[in-house]
Amino acid sequence: MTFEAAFMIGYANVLLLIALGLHRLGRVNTSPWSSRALAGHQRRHSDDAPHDGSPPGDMGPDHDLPAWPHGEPRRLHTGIAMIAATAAMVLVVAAMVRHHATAEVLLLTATGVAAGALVARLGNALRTAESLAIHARQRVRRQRH
Amino acid sequence: MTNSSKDPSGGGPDGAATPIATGSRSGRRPLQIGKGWVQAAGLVFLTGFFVVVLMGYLTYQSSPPIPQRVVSTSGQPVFTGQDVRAGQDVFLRNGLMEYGSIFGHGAYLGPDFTADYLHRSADLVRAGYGAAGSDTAAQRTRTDFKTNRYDPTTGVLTFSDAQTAAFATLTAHYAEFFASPAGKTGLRPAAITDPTQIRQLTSYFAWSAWASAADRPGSDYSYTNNWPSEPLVGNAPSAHVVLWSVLSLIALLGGTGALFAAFGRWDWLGWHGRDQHELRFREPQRVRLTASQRATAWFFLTMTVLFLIQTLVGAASEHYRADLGSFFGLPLDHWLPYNLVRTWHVQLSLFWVSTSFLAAGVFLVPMITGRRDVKGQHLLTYTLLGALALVVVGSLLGELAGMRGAFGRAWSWLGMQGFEYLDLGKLWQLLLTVGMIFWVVILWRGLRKRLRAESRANLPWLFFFAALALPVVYATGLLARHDSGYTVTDFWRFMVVHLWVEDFLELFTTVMVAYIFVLLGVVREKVALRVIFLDIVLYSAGGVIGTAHHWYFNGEPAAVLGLGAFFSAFEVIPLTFLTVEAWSFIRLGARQEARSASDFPHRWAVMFLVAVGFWNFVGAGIFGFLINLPIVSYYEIGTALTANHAHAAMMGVYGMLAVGFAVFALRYLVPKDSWSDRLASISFWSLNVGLAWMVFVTLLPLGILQLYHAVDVGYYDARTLAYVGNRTNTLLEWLRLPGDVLFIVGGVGPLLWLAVRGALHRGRHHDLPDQDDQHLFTEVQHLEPAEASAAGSITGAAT
Repeated sequence: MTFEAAFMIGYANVLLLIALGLHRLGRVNTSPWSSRALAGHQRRHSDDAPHDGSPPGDMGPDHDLPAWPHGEPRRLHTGIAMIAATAAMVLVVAAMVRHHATAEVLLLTATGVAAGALVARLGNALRTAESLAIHARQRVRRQRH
Repeated sequence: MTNSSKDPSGGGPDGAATPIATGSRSGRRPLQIGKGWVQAAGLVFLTGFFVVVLMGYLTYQSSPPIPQRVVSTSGQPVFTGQDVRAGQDVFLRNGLMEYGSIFGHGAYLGPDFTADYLHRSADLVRAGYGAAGSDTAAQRTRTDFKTNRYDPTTGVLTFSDAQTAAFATLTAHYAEFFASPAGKTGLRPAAITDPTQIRQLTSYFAWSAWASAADRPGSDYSYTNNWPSEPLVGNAPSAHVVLWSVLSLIALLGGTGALFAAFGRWDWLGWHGRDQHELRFREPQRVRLTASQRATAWFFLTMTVLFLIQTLVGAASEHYRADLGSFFGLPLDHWLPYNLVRTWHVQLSLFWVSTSFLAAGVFLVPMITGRRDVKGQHLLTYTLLGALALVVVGSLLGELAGMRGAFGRAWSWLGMQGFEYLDLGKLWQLLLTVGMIFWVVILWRGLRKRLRAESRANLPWLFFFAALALPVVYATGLLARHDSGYTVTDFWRFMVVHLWVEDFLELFTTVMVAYIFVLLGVVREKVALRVIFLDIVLYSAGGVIGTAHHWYFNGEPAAVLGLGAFFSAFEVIPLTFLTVEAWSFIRLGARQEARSASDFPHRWAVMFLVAVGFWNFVGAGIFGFLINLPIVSYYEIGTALTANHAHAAMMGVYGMLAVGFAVFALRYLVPKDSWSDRLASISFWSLNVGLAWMVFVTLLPLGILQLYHAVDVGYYDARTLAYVGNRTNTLLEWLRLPGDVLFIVGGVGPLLWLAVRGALHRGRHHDLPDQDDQHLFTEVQHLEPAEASAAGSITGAAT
């Protein structure tokens, strides 16, 4: 196996891991009423915590519909994860054009398929996050009126 | 229950446009936070600068000497100190620091001329002493280069006869390289043809190579702490390089732990909300702008035009790395050689970001004071724009003409001064400094009455001091002189490149962002002040002394390397903290939007701040620390990993901030029916996706490969044109194209459109209120019915 092909396979796989990690990170709830990192904030403003268990002002009762900007971390992280996964796919495809040894083709194909699957999955997640964000904004507007 | 609204000042003095309630005998509003904050910040700040002055002293005392004469063992003259100084002039005048590098500092296409000369001359010397496998020849070569034969009493440096012969051979080599009529090197064909200049240039390279190999008196390592790695002369990482790398890691881990422990213990640190009051954001088009604020529309248009040009010349410089031969068949190097487009790319990055910062400062003043402009303020603002245009156009054309030999003896004043990031001629540098002082005067005129009524550590004064620091620190760059030794010039150069950009722009940014949040009612002044003073403490602890991480291998003593490695590790800590805090910005905005009866108007400006948090951590924190350890920097300095850090940090942090400021102001300048959140969204995503593509597809893998090659094969080889243009690198460079196109078309294009709309309308809205009002929000109180009837008669403004 050539050095270039080995590097591309290794680097593409690292990018896929980064993409998965970023996507997972984006699912962390950033609301000050849920995040453990902001426990101090919760203690100081415990009086403001909603009696019905829903976070005040930050999240709606339905936690799947986070208000702005709590929908943004998910979108931003998933968006950047998708760039990393797409980058991995492009690098693998470019390497496949130049390297045709059996082992190279097998490993590049496997990595490419993994990258393609991840891109598709992240694309779906991005579309879902987008529609959730739109719903959340509409809900906030409805509440105002 | 009913609502009533009140002026933001109603609840007490705040940083926003408020009537001042003074509470001290001096008639000034008292300090809004504990004196301990001010004292701690002052102490850390002064300590940091004391150490910097100390390092400056060491720089002047311990930099490698330039010998009066260099002679061979047999007494034949080789070159003189005058040749070395003249060679530095040739190097700078021709923009070679924007092509390759010297002592590792400069651009990344051409070779590092220190490492290049060292390797080539060592190879020639070894060949002169015997066959390739001869241990004796290898040992004699190492002895020739490692032994310091400089006599400080006579100022004479003695080269061995083999080194002398190598000098003659390499003079011919560089004559061929720089005078090549075929081009294909990224430089203009026949860039330097004068034999005297070639000899002087070679003398400069030879001196730098001598300093990088010969042992510093009293030490067993060279003036450059044994940089570059070169087995032929026995250059390997010194004990200091390894030791301080380890201690640097410990400093990072310990410091991060201590900071998070502090935040766990004192949970009032950091950004917290403006209590739980409900705000009603004023529609931007209902805010009556002053004439000076309206004038800033032209600044933001200028900013986006400069941004566009910067990206285009950046694309041209990138093309040289993908294809040295031609630009799609056009001989680009005849008109726009690499060193010119790279110079413009670097200079314009500073210009467009600065333009946005200058405009944002002017824009905020009336919001801070809540008053109309003082007389003539808008005329001064237009004058500033004219001065800025003069400096930008003058300096860029000066660089073009200067590289082609114009201006004679005034080359460093009018043409290409040649230090990377301080490329502009001294006259333009001076005018830029004067322009920034002029800008501070504009701010002072607007703020004067407000400042008179405030304690000197309250927000308005911090805003003024942070602005004043910009020209003051930038002015230190004027001390970088072309006729000083390289180490001394580099000391002053990094006062601008690091201290000005990474510390004082960061401070000004923090104050601006904090003030904007106070003006928007998102945080209270006390919270903003605490954050600003905490930032001053954190950045002063790491960033000021950490400037020395640029001086590991440029001729500074090992003590400077140690200080730089240890304290620059602390720079990452506030970056980590700011990333955590970035979501707190958003959390605050979210709470207000969710509670507000009106839309939060600065959604996309805040999103750019989120991007700043992300890139601060990735670009400055991770990619910066990746190359910060002395042992890593030893092999990677001047490689694509440096470019990776530079792009992710400069564009990711300051670029996104500059765009964020522009979007904030344009929201007020562009009429409602012309404003498009969709365009702002496209610009936001395209800039971020384009930058991420640039980093992940090209710069990071290129840098990893180049670092591996530098360790495996040698630093010299990793910096050759042959390596840079190899098949793998070329593929990675071409793969960058889609991201760059997206960045320029999707990122800069919509921004330019919005800026044009801003300049056309300049905040002349149809439905402005009758009275002047710079308040950006009103606070809504929820009152019980009984209280409401009483309150209604007091506020008279039920909503």
